[in-house]
Order: sequence, then structure tokens, then C-alpha cells
Amino acid sequence: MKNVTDMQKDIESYEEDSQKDKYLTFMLDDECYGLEIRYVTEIIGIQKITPVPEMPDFVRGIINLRGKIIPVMDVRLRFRKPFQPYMDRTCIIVVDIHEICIGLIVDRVAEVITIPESEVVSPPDVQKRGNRFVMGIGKVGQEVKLLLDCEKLLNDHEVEQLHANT
Amino acid sequence: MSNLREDPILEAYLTETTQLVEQLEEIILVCEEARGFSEDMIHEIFRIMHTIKGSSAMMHFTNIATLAHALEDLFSFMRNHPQQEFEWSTLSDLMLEGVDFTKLELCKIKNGDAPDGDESDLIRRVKRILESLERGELNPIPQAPLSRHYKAHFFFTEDCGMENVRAYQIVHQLKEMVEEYRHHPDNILDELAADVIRTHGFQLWLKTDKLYDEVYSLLSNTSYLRQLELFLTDSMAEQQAEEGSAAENEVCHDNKQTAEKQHPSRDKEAVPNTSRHQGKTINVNVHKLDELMDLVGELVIAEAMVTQNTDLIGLELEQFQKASRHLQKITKEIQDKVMEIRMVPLVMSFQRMQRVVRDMSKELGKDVQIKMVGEHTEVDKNIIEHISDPIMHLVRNAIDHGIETVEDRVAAGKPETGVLTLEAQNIGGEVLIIVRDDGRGLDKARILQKAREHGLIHKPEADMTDRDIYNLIFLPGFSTKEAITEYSGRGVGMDVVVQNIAAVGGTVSVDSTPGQGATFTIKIPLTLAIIDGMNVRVGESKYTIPTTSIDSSFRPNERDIITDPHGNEMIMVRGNVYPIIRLHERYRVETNITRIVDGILIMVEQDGHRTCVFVDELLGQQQVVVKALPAYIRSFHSIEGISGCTLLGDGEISLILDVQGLLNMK
Amino acid sequence: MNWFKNMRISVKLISAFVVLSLFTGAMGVYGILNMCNVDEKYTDLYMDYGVSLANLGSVGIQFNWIEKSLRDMLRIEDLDAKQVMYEEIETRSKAMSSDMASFQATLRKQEDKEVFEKLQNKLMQYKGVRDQVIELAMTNQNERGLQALPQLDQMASEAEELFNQLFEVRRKNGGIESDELSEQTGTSTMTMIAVIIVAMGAAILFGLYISRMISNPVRKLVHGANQIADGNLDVEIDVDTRDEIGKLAEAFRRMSDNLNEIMSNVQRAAEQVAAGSKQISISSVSLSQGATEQASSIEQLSASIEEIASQTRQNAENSNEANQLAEAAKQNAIHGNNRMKEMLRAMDDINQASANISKIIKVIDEIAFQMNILALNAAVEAARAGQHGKGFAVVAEEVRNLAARSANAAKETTEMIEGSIKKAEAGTSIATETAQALQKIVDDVAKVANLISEIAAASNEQSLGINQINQGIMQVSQVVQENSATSEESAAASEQLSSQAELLKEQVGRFRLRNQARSSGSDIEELDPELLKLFERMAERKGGSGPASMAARPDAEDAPGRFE
Repeated sequence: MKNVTDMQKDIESYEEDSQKDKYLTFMLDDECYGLEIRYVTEIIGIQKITPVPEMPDFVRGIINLRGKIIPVMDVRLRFRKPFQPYMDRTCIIVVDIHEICIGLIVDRVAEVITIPESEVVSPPDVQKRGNRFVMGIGKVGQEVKLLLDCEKLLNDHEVEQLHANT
Repeated sequence: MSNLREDPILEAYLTETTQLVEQLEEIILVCEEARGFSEDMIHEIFRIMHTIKGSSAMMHFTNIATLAHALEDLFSFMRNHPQQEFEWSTLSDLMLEGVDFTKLELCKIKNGDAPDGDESDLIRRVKRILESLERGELNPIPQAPLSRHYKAHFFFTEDCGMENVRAYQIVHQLKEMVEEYRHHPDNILDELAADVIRTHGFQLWLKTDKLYDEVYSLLSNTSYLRQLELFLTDSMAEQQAEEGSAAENEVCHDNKQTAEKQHPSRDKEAVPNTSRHQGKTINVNVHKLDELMDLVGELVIAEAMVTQNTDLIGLELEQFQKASRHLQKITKEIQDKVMEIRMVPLVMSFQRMQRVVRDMSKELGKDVQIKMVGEHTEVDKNIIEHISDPIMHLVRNAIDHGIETVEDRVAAGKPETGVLTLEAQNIGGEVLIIVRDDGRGLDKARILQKAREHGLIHKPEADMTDRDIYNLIFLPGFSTKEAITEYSGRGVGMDVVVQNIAAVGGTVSVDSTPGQGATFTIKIPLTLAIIDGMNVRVGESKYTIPTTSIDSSFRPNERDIITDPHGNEMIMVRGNVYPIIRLHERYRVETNITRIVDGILIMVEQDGHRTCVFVDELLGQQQVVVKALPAYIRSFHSIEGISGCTLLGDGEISLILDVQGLLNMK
Repeated sequence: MNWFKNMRISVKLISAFVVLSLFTGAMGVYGILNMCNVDEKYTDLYMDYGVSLANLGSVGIQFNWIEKSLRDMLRIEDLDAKQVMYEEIETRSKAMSSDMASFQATLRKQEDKEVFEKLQNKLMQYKGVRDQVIELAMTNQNERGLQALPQLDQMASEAEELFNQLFEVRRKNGGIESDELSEQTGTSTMTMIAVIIVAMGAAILFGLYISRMISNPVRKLVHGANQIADGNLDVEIDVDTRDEIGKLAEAFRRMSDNLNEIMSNVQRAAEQVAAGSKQISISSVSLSQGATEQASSIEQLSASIEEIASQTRQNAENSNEANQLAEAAKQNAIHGNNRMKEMLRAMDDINQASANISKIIKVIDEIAFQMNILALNAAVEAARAGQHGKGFAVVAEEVRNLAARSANAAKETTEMIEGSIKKAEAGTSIATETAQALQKIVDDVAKVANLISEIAAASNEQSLGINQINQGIMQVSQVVQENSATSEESAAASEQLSSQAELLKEQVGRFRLRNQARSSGSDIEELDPELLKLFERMAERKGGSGPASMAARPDAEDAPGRFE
């Protein structure tokens, strides 16, 4: 039985791996970013955001997604870019990382593409602000897509907070 | 990755068998207390065993079946020979072991693993008893070694750092309690171990005679623990075999939230149905109930969306109003009924404690009696799950550190038997669960010292009441770091308790009289999900205040408003002065209404304290479904004054204000 | 005798009559006295003799009767009858007594009286016996009574004698007196006749004298009056007594003087009146002429006003017509405006439709966007499904393409719509301008219409006013005509007056006045100044035409001339 379980698990991981090279790309200004598809749950249009007090600026608040309450983060602000008012083309990418559901507000959503690992290189200079969320740079044809680390995107603030506390 | 099997027969089997096992356990405990097995009990046990045997055999779970069979034989004999005396305590111990074993197997089955436990040892012992009984021997059967084998799999939180050190802490903790242990990675002092632990978790095999619960609670009191999986295993051999597997093992619980430590659910599928109440009942899958509950919540929202639809504003629709009121009434009834269905009397949890108390008092050589008050108070199913652990912690602590040894008690002039009271009350919209012991109480000086050491004191010490001092123990960081040094003072894991309780929206507090005992009070809002709220508006944002907290609302007069030299605003109402909280300032909401006389003041009250909340406008009263703020939001920090959020009829989100939090905001 | 002459006639006459009456009176008185005397005497006579004799006679009768009765009484036995007789006797006795008394009263002479006394004594005696007898009779002693009778008879006879004596005396005396009387009367009668004759003569003479005193002057006066009556006012009265006649003559003289004067005045006045009336006549004529001219000019005025009136009416009619035209124009303009508005509305509808299409395009765009999202979601799910999702991924891709195409089509359509909207807007703005222009026309026309209606109203009012003027002028004309008529009348009247004045003059001319010299020119110039002024005014009004200037001049020269 164990073997079966193992096999199952292998298959799963294979499947997972096959998800691994797929990215959902979106645009902020002219920059194209990518998110691993395995974290992406869905894409929705912009809707009314209820602000939550005492949150960092990039946490815009919470939205009501079919009865489920999901926090939304403005990726631009997260990247310390200047804020742009939301238009009707602005989208929210709902991601689910380790049971945490969060919506990412982006300017435009592009497409789902596959970038094989071979086309992904490490980002230079991890410490620079804004780039610490980037875990790799993927090349697609003539363009580069900045591939983001979802977990960092969500959780990086703890570092800030810990530093603030101690 | 679903844990549920698609197979309904298996579902049914698991449900039924678990329930029976629970009943069995309960009966055994009762018998223990009664210091004997009554005839009825024997019959009951026999019946249960018979049923289990049959169903397990049908499901081809042979180990369970054979064990059940053996027990059935035993009790059949006892049934037929009622006058036969026997050593009941050994028997009950054995029974309980069998119960544990069965539970473990059921767990495995639930997880999709094969029930591969070895029942042979137990069966042997059962047969021995039977034989001795048959022989008429009253010899207490030498107790089989109670040692059990566990495997624990730890996952630490990301970036907690020094995972190996933490692993070492765990091991160190357990050294005294376990007979044997083994862990992987072996060398936890090595830096590389940290990586291994980070990626694959820390695996620990131990052999101890401690009961599962004990072990679990001990292990779960580890800091930075993201996930703990504890298995009862048969032998170390298995452990070794499993060592190589880097795969994650699942435990009998749902992975809901990482910050929580889940108790392997014994009561996951319990139905409010004790052996004493053998009325007409059916077993219902809790998931279905959960779904039903969610659906009812959705129904309430949808009903609000229909009856408060923006399209209807300004229209005079008498028939429609009548119909919608009718709908509201029925929805409320459905809601109440479903709530009722989900309500489980605490008696189950309390009675589980009996086992713990029994075990612990035996181990620690103390004489503790458990007293239950109001155990039939019902709480929501969800809550039961979340409070079992905290109650367990509190009970353990009480027995461990609170209640003195018999000698000490006698010396102090107290009765030999310590009394541990588990009390449940239903007050207002809350359930109070009180764990009271008549032990030695809390040591104020020590607490203060500790708090000082850890820099946890924010108020000038002279201003702190005894209660404040006692409640310091709940602060995060209070007791966790003790583990590095030693057990001293009050036990470990208070903040775990607090977190668990907070997860269901409750609070914990403690009071104590030195030498007389300590009282821990858990307060949990009763109906977690749906409350009566008053919607208010501040600027573009909407808030909901629970109507039970609202005393009154009014439009203030300019002349009643007083401003003190610090700039704090207060209002005079009927001769009393109350502070004013400007929501728009507190939460930085943009609004046009800044003069107090332009808006509305709502007087809210909690525990006798009152304050006035300044809002723009009252929107109306409504039943709202409480939803917790998303964990991500809460991961930053809990927002004082906001206890959750809800969806209004028009789909907008309204933040639910927590009056206690507002009162604390100063 | 002057003083007598100067006495008043009445006095004269009265004195004559007084004298006469005195005479008469005296005469009368004398006569009366005589008569009275006579009368007295006669009465006395009568009484003393006549009546008394009667009385005596009566006494005698009574006496006889008593005797008789007595006898009767003594004859009868009936007491009752006796009683009756007794009463009768008593009565007659009383009568006798009374007669005796009466007779006694008349006794004048001594002689008579002596006789009388005797008689009376006798009677007394008689009575006494009589009474006894009666008594006897009454007591049925007739016999005794009868015995007494002879005594009685004696006495009676004695009485009778006496009676006769008396009678004789009386008769005689009476006769004497009567003769005396007759003598007296005869004397007086003779006296009276003489006086009468004297008186008569005196009276006649006096009368003649007085009448002559009166009638002479009167005759003179009569003569004078006749003269005057004949028209000769130049008379002299030669009477200078101071009595009434004299006064009358005086008065007559004055009268003639005054008459003279007056007549000469009248003459003058008549002349002047004649002159004046001539002038009046002339002025009247000229007034009449003037009035006629006035009337004619009023006629002209009236005519021209008529013309104005008719022109005004025409005006009003024209303006009414113009009003109607303006109304019509306004209606047309409004109509045009309405059509314009309709056109605008139509264009709006076009815009609306375009907007609707726009909306739909937006919806399509929205759909395309949502489809895109959907396609992305599908791609995500497909990616998750890994191997199994490859086909789905292809489908998702196709959906995306479709969405892109929809979006493009929507975009193009939007552009086209925007273009058409722009054109429609251009059209709308033109139409709006036109509408505004039309509106302006409407407004202006409205204003014109207003003005015209005001003109019409004003014309109407003007018409009314002119009518009123006309009427006023008619009235004036009437008045003028009346004036004209009146002045003609007055001319006629003055003509008459003039003729009457001539007549008057004629009449006055019949008189020969005493001294014409007295009628000096200064009197004539005493024309009534008011009258003069009147003439002057009339002259002025006429503008100094001929007759007026004539009137202004004093008529002194003319008047005397006329009367020459």
C-alpha cells in the first residue's frame, strides 16, 4: 500500500511540476510579471473594496467574492510604484497560497504561458527593493517576464514587522 | 487533496464505529468512577463490542474485528456471570487501551491508510483476563507495559530559523517523559539539520506510557510550530521503516489554517448523542452540517440581498413587505434550527476530561475529583472542537501545578481530594467555561518577575490589579521562552490556549486566590456565525455594531459635549459623562461629517463600561452573518475594535465593531 | 273875500250846506218843539179828560153791574151760584177801585177834585152796604138783603149824580184846554212858514255863488286839458286860487310841464332807440353772418374731422389686417419652430439611438473583456489540469481570440458611431441655430403683432376720440347755428324794435312841444353806457366791421337829425 501511496504522491508531484512551468502573466505599467499558475485560483474584474483600517498601504482592504471575504493587495503599491486609480479594466488575480486567499490588484492580465525552467534565470541583486519579490526572469521570445515569488509577496512584511518589534 | 472517502459505506462505518468507541470510553470512565462495572454497563459494552465486531468484519478490518471479538467474549462471560468479581481497574485500563487502539486504526482508515495496527498484544491480555475470570481468579493481571509508541512529525513555521535548535528543545522536553526516543534527522545540533527539518520536518519517534493526548499536548506546546502530526504506532520498527519516507504524512484532521495546532479529532464526527440518550437519532456527517450552516449563512445574506435590494428603495410594496417579512421569519427559524442542530452539549468535552483527570491524577499521585456544572450547556460544534484543547490544557495545568499533593493539601488543612470544577454557563450571547481548582493558586510575585524579565509590562506596576497581573500569563511571549530553561512557575502553553480561544472569537481570563485556587474563565460568543447588528455609516465605509452591545443612540446637542484639556471629547448624558470615540479618526475614514452634532452618537456598553461612538448615520438593524477577517489581514495584527466582517444586503462588506476593543482603545 | 276863495272847495260847499242845514235845523227844532208841546197837551188832554172819563165810565158800569148782581144774588137761592156772583162782584169791585184810582190821578182842578171826593165817599158807603147785603145773601138772607136795597138804590142814585157832575166838569174843562191848544199850533205854523221862505232864498243865492267859484276854474282847466289832448302841450292855466281848484290848476300846470319834458325825452329816446335798434339790427345781421361763417367753417372742420375719422378707421382696419397678417406670420414661424424642434427631437432620437448602440457596444466590449477574463481563468484551470487540460487550453485560446475579435469589432463600431454622432451633433447645432433664428422671428413677429395691436387699439381710440370731437363739433355747430338763428331772430327783433321806435317817434311827433330849446343835446347824449359797451363789444367781435364802428360812435349827430 505504501508504494501505491508513494506512487500517487509521485504522480501528484509530477502534476504539480507540470503546473510549475506555467505562469499567469499580468502587466504593471509596461512591465510584465508572472505568477505560478498553481497559486492562481481565478481572475475577476475590479469591484468595490471595503477598506480595513490600520493596514499597510498596499493592503487596500477586503472584497466580497461570492460570499467569501478576501483581502486584496495592490501590487503596484507593494512594489512601491505610484498609485494609479482603478479603471474598469483593472483586474484582481485571486491567489491561494497555503490556504491563504488573497487578491492581487493589477493593471491588466495578459495570458497563461509556459516558460520552461531552462528559460528562467535568477534575478540579479536580490536585495534591491522591488525586486526581492522576483524569483526569476523568464524569457519568452523577445520579451522578459519577471516571475514573482508568491509566498514572498504575501509574507515578506513579517520581516519588516519583526524588525519593527525588536 | 480530500480526506473524505467517496465510499458512503465506509463513511457510515467510520461514523458509527467512532461513535461507539466514544460511548465505550465514556462508559468505562463512568464505571471507573463507580468503581465497578454494573450489569447494565456490561450489557452495553457487550452490545457495543458486538456491533463493532460485526461491522469491522464486514469492512474487512480484521484487527479491529478480532479485538472486538475478544472483548465481546470477555464481556459475554461477564454478562453471564454477573456475580463474578474482577479487578475492574485493570480491566478498565485495558479497555481504554483497546479503545485507543481502535481509535488509532480508525484514524488510519480515515486517512486512507490501511489499519495495520497489531492487536495481538491487546488480545492476548484480554484473553488472559478472560481466562483468569473463567478461572475465578481475582488476581490482578499484571499490567502490561503501558508503553506506547508514537511518531511525531513537526513542521516549523517558515523563517523561524534554527529549526534544529527547536527540535532539540522538543527532545529535551520529552527526555524526562519518554522511555525511548529517536528522531530524524539524528543530529539536530548540526546546522544542516535545520535545512532538513525545514524541508521535511522533524520526525520524532518515542515510546512512552503517556497517553496520546498528553503526548500531543506536550508536543504541541512547541513554539513556531506550524504543524504537528502525532501517530500512535506499534513499534519502533515501523518507525524506522517510515524514516526514509520524506513524504508528508497526513494526520487525522483537516488542514485548515497553519497557525493552528489541531488536535487529532476524536470528536470530528461526533453527534450530540450520548449513550444515555438513546433517543431517535441519526448520524450526520459534520461536513454536511457545516455546509448546511454555510448555506444558511448564505441564505441569510441572500435574503437580505433580496429584501434590501437597492431596486426597491422608495417603492411602497405592501404585499411584498409582508411576504419578505414572512421569509425573514422563516429564514430565522431555519437559522435557529440549524444552529440548534449544530449545538453540542459540552458534556462530551467535559467527560473527556474525566479520562485526563483520571490518568493524570494517577500518574502524579494526586487525588483529584472532577466536578461538572452545567455540562449540558450547548455550544456550537465548531466551538467544541476549538475549546477541547484549551480546556485540556487548563485541566492539565490545574492538576499539574494547581492542585497540591495529598500531603500538601492535608498540611494546608484542605480536604485530601482536590476538586476540579468544570463549569459551563450560558450568559447573554456567550458561553462561559470555567475551570476552577482549589489548589494553591497563582504566584503573583513570580508572574510579575517573569513579565518584567520579558518586558511584557506596559502599565506601571502600581496600577495593576491582581487580575491584571494574573492575566499577564496570557501574553504571548510569557511562557514560551521558559521552555529553554526549565519548567517553573505555571505551566507552558497559555498563549496557545489564548490563541485557540481567540480563533473562535473568545477570551480567556484568570483569577486566583493564593492558597485557595485559581479560576480560568473562557468566554466564547455563543452564536458565532449570526448576530443581530446595527449598521452604521462613516463616510463611505460601513460598520456593524452588535445590538446586544448598544445601549442607545441619539443625536447629540452641542452643549452636552465637553472637551478636556487633552483634547479628548466627552458627552454628558443623564448626568454621566462618557468618552466619545470618533470612528472616522480612529480608522482614518474620509467623511464630510466631522462635527459631532451633524452625526449620531451610539452608546455602547460592555461589562458595565460605556462609551459613545460617533458615526455619520444609522443605516438600520439587520441580522448579519459574521465572517472572520481573512487570516492574511489578521496576520499583520489584530485590529483593535474590529472583530470581524459581514456582508450586507447589497453585497457590501461591513466591518463588525468589537465593543471591548473600542473600550480598550486609548 | 279871498280868504273865502282860498278856502277849500269842500269847505265852501260844506259851509253852504251847513248854513242851510242850520236853518233847516232851526226850523225843525222849532217845529218839533211845538209839536211836542202840542203832543203833550193833547196827551194831557186826552188823559185828563178822555181817559178819565173812560174810567169814570167804567166805574159806573161796574157799579151798575154790581147792583145788578146784587140783585141777582138776592134772588137766587143757589149758594154756589151766589158764590160765583160774589166772586164776580168782588172782581168788579176791584176793577172799580182801580179805575177810580186812575181817574183820581187825572184830576187837576180843584173843582174836579171836590166832586170826586164826594163820589168816592159815596161809593164807599155803598160798598159798605153792599157787603152787608152780600153777606146776607150769602147766608141766605135774601130777604133781608132785599130790604137793604132801597138804601142802596139811594146811594146809587146819589153816586150817579155825582158821576154826572163829574162828567160835566170834566167835559168842560177839556174843551177849554183844547181850544187853547189849537190856538198855539196855529201860531207856530205861521212862524215856520216864514222862516222857510227866508231860508230858501238865502240858500239859493249862496249856492249860486259857490258853484260859480268852482266851475270857472274848472272850465279853464277843461280847456287846458283839451288843448293837451289835442297835442298842444303848451298851455297856460290862469287859476290862482288856493283851493282845490287852484291846486288842481297848479297840478295841471305841472303836469303839462312834465308831459312836455317827458315827451321830449321820449322823443329823444325814441330816436336813440331807433338808432340803437338799427345798430342792433346791423350787428345782428353781421353776427348772423359771422355765425353763418362759423357754421360753414365748422362744417369744414367737421368735414375734415370726418375725413380724419375715416382715415383713422381706415388705419384701424389696416392695422387690424396687419395684425392678422402678423399673427399669421407668427403662427407660421411657430409652426416652423415646432418643426425645427421636431427635427431636433428626431436628431436627439438619432443621438439617443446612437447612444444606445454605444451602450450596446460598451456591453459588447464588456462582454469581450469578461470573455477575456474567462478565457484566462479557463487557461488557469487548464494549466492546473495539466495533461488533461491541454484540449481545454486550446479552447480557452480560441475563446480569447474570439474575445479579441469582439473587442475589435466593438471598437470599430464605436468609432463609427462616434463619427455619426459627431455628424449628428453638427446637424443638431445647425438645427439649433435655425431654431433659434426662427424663435427670434417668432419673438420679433410677436413684438410686431403687439405693436400693431397697440396701433389698432390706439387707432380705435383715436376713432372714438374723433367721434367725440365730431360730436362736440356737431354740438358746437348746432350751437352756432342756433346762434345764427338766434342772431337772425334778434336781427328781426331789432328790426321790429327799430320799426317800433319809428312808430314811437311818430307818435311823439304828434305832440307840439312847448320849448324845444329845453331839449338840449346833453340829454340826448345820456345814452345808456351799458348799451354803448354792448355795441362796442359786438363791434369787436365782428372785427371792427362796419356796423360796429358805427355803433361805437355816439349817435348824437344822428339822433337829433332823425327827429328833425
